[in-house]
Amino acid sequence: MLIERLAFKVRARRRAIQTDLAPGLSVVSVDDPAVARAFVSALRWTDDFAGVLWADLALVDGSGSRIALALERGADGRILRRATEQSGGALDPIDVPSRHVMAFALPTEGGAARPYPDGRTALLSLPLSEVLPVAETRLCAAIAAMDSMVTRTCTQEDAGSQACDAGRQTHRTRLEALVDQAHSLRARRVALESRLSWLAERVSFIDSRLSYIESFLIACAERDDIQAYIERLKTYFRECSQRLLSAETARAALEEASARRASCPGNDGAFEPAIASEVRSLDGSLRELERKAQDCEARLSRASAWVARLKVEQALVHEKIRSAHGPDRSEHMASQARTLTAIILDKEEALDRVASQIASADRVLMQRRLAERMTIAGAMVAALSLMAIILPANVWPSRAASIPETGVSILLALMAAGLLSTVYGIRRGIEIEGRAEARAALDKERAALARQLAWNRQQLSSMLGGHTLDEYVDDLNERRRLEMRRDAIADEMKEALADSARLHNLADFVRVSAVRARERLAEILRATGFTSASSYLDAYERYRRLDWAFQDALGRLESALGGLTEAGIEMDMEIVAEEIAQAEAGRDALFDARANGRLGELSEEYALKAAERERLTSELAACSLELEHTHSELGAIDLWEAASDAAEAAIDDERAAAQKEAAACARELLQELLDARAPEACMRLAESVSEILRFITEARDASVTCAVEDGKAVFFPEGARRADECMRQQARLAVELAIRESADGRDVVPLVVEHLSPTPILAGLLAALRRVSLTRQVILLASPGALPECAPTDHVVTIA
Amino acid sequence: MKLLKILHTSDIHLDHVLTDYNRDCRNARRAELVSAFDFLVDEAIRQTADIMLIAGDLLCARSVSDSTASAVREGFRRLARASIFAAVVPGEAEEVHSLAMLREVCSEPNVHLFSGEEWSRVSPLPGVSVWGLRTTSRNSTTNALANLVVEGSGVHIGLMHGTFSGTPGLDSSISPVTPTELSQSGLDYLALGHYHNMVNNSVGRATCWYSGSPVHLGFDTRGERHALIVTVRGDGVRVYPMKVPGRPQRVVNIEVTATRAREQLYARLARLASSELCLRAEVEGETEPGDVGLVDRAEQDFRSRFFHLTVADHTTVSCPPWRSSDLRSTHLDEAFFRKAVRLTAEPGAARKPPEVIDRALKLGLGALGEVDTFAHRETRVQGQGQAAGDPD
Repeated sequence: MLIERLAFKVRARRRAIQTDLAPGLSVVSVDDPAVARAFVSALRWTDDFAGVLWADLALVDGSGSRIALALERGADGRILRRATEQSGGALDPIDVPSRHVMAFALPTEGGAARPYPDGRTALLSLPLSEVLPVAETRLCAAIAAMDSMVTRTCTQEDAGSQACDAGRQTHRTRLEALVDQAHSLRARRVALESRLSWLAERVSFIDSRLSYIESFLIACAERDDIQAYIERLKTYFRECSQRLLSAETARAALEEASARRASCPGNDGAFEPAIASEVRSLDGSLRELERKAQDCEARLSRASAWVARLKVEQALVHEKIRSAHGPDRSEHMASQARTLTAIILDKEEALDRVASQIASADRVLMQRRLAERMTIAGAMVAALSLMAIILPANVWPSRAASIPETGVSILLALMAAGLLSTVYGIRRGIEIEGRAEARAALDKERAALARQLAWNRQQLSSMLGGHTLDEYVDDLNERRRLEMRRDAIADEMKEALADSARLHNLADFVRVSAVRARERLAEILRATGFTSASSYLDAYERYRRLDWAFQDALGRLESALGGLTEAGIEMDMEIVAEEIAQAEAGRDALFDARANGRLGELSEEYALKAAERERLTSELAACSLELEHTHSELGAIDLWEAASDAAEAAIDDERAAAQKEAAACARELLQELLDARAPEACMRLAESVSEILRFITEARDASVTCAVEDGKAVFFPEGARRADECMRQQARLAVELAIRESADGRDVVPLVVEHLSPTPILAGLLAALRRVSLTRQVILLASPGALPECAPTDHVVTIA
Repeated sequence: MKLLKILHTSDIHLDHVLTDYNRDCRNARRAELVSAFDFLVDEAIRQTADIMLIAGDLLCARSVSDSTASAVREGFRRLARASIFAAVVPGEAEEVHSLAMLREVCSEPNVHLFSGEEWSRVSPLPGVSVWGLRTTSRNSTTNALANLVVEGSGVHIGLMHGTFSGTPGLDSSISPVTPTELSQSGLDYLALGHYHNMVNNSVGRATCWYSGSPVHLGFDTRGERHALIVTVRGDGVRVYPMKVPGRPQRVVNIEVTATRAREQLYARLARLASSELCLRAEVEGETEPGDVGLVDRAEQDFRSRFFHLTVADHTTVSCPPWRSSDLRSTHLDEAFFRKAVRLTAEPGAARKPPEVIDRALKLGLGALGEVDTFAHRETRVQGQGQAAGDPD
């Protein structure tokens, strides 16, 4: 198999690299360790690809088929590998080859070169499982599997789930502990329930005992109560005795007052308080009635006099009314007369106004001549002035007579004045002519007014009968005043008569009342035997004082008895005496713990029991709480499940123990088999190594031996150059080649050798690799400093 | 004499851990145990039994849950409502924490628990005496019936958890009862518990039965399960086995031959397959070295077709045809087999038990086979065939 091309991308450097590799020895010089690691990873293909992002390999297998290997990373970072084979231009996917290179590093690890007793120094010491052929490797793997069973001691089921013995043991212990815990909890629950039951019983007992002691204490209290009751009864008894004494004294006083009252007149019932009150009332009424009668008489005489006076005054008023003027005068007439008088006055005023207008017109008419004269005079002056102005100067006799310039002005002024006077006179004349026509109308109006006025005056005179309006009205008022006075006297007369009648009635009533009072008083006095009301009332007062004394004595007696009688009090005293005797008997019947000194003992016991009860109650609550917790914890444990699992775990343990024993036995047998076969296999391997060594070193005496020691294959160089370092390295190369060659398949895969240490590669080793490259493609990866000078046939690739 | 009717049962082992069964079906089997107890209570009520006798191992005290204990109490209450008296003796499964759990479930007034280590008597009905004792480690070696002194007339019923001498298949011996002691005991009927199968141990007029467990607790019991209806009247004691319905359970032996082991095993299991059946298959015969692990694989393959399936491997690996003439054979399995056989034949104290060697042989062959399989796989991938010198 040949690797033609390798392309890959270094993750650390984010760099894509492509290298073409040739058959024979390709020396790849890489300076960057990260790139070197990625290069090896991409070549090995089965190692860790942490340093490679992707890689492509172009291979040619032994049959000449071209195979492309591609390594990619999915979106989730997982590595995807695929292989395709070119056949006739098409790419057919094929299984990814399990191995397409043979790779190892130099200097070889595991070469613990320690001196052996025979003076030899071992090349390498490798585990047998790594160096032996397939058959022995199977043995080693089987032994390892048995070792795994023995050490891990897992059951078959557990082996699948990767559970280890320790974990199972812990699990079983935990389950058994859980079961034990559940049983402990159950036992605790039973104990708690028992304890709770006992506590409840004990509390009940203490309660009864406390109740018993309390009954003792209550008996003491009851005894005290009875004693207090007896004291109260005795006090009452004493009060009754005192009350009897007081009653006797009061009764003596009562009897004395009664005797005094009995000796007084009126004791036979005459001095009835109602009668006495009536007598007192009648006596007072009689006095009042007499006074009223006198008063009525006086008022009645005054009323009679008042009536007489009113009658006289009424007659006078009637006479005046009869003798008054104009009995036919009326208010209506007076009103008409007043209206007519007002009309007359209005018309007189209108007539006066017309007369004054006429007089004014007359005064204007008197100026007519003045107006005419002013018109004429003005016209003349104006004409003359105009002529004087207009006439030539020679008209005038002399120059002196001629009119100077100033004279013209005067003439002009005069002409103007004359013209103005003429105009005024004309206007005034026109106005006076208008006034003359108005005066004529006024004259007609005055005449009409004068006629109406005369008619109205005639009407008024006939209406008033020749009197004036004032006289007519005065007469009318006087008559009205007299009539009003007449009516007032009549009303007063009625009132006086009514008052007189009422007084008459009152006098009659007073008189009758007095008579009846006298009759009633006389009747009472007659019955009582007294001659007068005053003597009756005096006797009554005396009797009343004696009766009060009697009543007072009676009240004191009743107060002393308190609503009872002497017999009742005496009966009460007897009952109280009996009650006292009974209470004293009841009191004496009650046990008095104080009497024999047990009260303290009982009180002490009560306190102790109460304290114990409190403590037990607390314990009861605590136990109840704990029981709840226990129930809760028990509820959280599925006992059957735990016990089942624990039992199953125990069975698993038994199975595991049996399995372990069988595995140990099997291992023993397998080891024996391996021990029997390993030396022969090692010998065959050593022969193979020697052949390779001779080939790559071209030294006929070079050989390697292999011995089994402590489960490892130890290789020793033989021959004359066995101590030569170059030879030793070549021998190591041969061992590596032989180990891998034996496990290799038919196709000869390329050899990849890493030499990443700075130690220079020995020329002999390079030559050996060059010899190896005659049989297969060899790719040497080394740092630039470690590389010796290359041969012209070497394909050198430098990755900077 | 009035007919006295008794229901006799024992060894229900309520809340037994049932480790013979898969974890998946264990819960269902547990519920079936409680159902069996309920069935017995129902039957006692239906058949108007006077007394129910439970001759020990009513429950597994170490694993019994509170819910199951409540169910038992409820069963006893139902008996009480039907005026049925129950007498119980403890078994060794109930000895945890001094019978605490059993005392708790037997606290109903119609239930009498014989907790004394000497015989004691209770008279649930006029003229009927039930004698019982608790079997413990202290009295388990003494002949219990020898100490029983039956007094008075009437019917005398004995109740105990022990071993009747000579009972076939009963290995343990606790409080042994001999036929002679039974015949001289004066008991009309001795109700025994401890043995999980129904057995009549009567001697003459003395009637004595093991009722057996009414349910299968594992695969050590076979066949139908029973309780006993015992009638006592003037003319003697009669016992009527009463079948207790339950899940079908079988233990079968499957004989395989080396060349057709897989075929035979799979065919037999296919014929037996039932989703209601609890099956334990004992595979016997010979298998080839290549069939190591066949039994486990068969169990895995058929597990879903049974309510419960256990396949026990009692096969031996057959000797393969020798490809080499001596111990230095290049064929690993052959060489390993020879070594194992030689170890079996090895005399002396160092010799290991045959079953261990047999198991080791299977393990070793299995391990080599797995490696071989891996090697084959690897070489197939490489397309390069097998390595030289390893024709396997």
